[in-house]
Amino acid sequence: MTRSPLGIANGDVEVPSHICLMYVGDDELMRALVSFVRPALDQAGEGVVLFGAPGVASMFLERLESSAAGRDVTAALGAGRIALTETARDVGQQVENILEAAEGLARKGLRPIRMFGRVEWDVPGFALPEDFLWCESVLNRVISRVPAILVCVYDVTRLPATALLLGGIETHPFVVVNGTLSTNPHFVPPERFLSERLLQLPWLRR
Amino acid sequence: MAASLPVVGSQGLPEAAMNSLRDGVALVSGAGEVTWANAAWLAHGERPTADAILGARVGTNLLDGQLAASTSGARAIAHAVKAVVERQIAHCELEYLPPGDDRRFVVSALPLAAAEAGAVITIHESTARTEEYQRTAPAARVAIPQAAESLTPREAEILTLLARGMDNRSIAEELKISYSTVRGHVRSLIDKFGARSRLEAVALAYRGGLVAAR
Repeated sequence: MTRSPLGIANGDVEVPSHICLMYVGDDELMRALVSFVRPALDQAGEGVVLFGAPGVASMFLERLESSAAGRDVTAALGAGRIALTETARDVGQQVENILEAAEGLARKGLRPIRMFGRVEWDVPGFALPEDFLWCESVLNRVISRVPAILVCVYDVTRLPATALLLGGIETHPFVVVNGTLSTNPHFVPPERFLSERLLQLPWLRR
Repeated sequence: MAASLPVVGSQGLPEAAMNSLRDGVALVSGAGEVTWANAAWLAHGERPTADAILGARVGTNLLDGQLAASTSGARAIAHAVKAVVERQIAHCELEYLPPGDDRRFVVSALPLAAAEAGAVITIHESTARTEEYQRTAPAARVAIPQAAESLTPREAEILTLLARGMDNRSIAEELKISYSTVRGHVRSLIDKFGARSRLEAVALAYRGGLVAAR
């Protein structure tokens, strides 16, 4: 298994990795995005996948183009090293969208693939909360298919505690808070998360 | 790489993240003491009403009846939290309506995932969507035996794999069928259970004994 610099915080991560980043405010989000993607813009052999609810990936791309400190984002996009995709209400399709985007770049020989997605919760057009949690958990298995560093970003000022605790903390082996990368002692592996967490959600037990 | 998350009290939750959260979050130790609470939780504690859990402050023992003005609602919440801390139940969620307040709050408790005894309690205002979801979901469901009888053998097979937490691609590979075929079967399953999500279909299947816990 190879390792690669995370970019956002000090230290390397294994490839593949699934990481939760908790941020406060748009400035911190955009700093994280630029820091994470910059190595891929500097290294022609790396790829980038941006994803989120409809419109989010395009917004990320525009922000990158305006703040990537001289890197040529348009050229990377034109060279097919950046892929944009959307999350979906059908969470099975959502997993597939994310995986397909990464596999497409991997087939071009790009390593690692830096994947950056913003988490939403209980909003129209997005997966229902329990399905979203399932998606986050199952991504730990799915990500093993591609040489990717997957960073899911959680807005701690907007998302409810349920999303943060169950989704952010318990479904990611690694967490970045305040720019510090940490292993996560509260991680619950997918084979336990379904029975011990998801099926215990109160609205599924009525 | 750092070895663990920033420490909050005796637990390992990220303090900066919890302090930034608009929801009230508190940690309860195995002994029932609130060992840490974020600013939003403390703001709840400063509300005019001393009623129920919203009056709890850091250091208050939630579990032995020492709440300032314990009501039946407060006791219900305290008992539920106690049951979570002692791992008699996996999770609790109770709606709380403070006297003289139009808002509704949802108080929930989750046991800590780590080996250390204790729980995380959260308080947030309930949303209209949550209420709508809870109100309409049961009526939309189909009786489990009826749903079970309507399943094709392939759908039953896929339901079993879904209950193992498998994604559509993995199911397709396991059964040697296409991804789109699996997707169609999953959608059909959800419809037959009258469920809103794949997880709700799996939960109903568990409850009806159609699949077994692994």
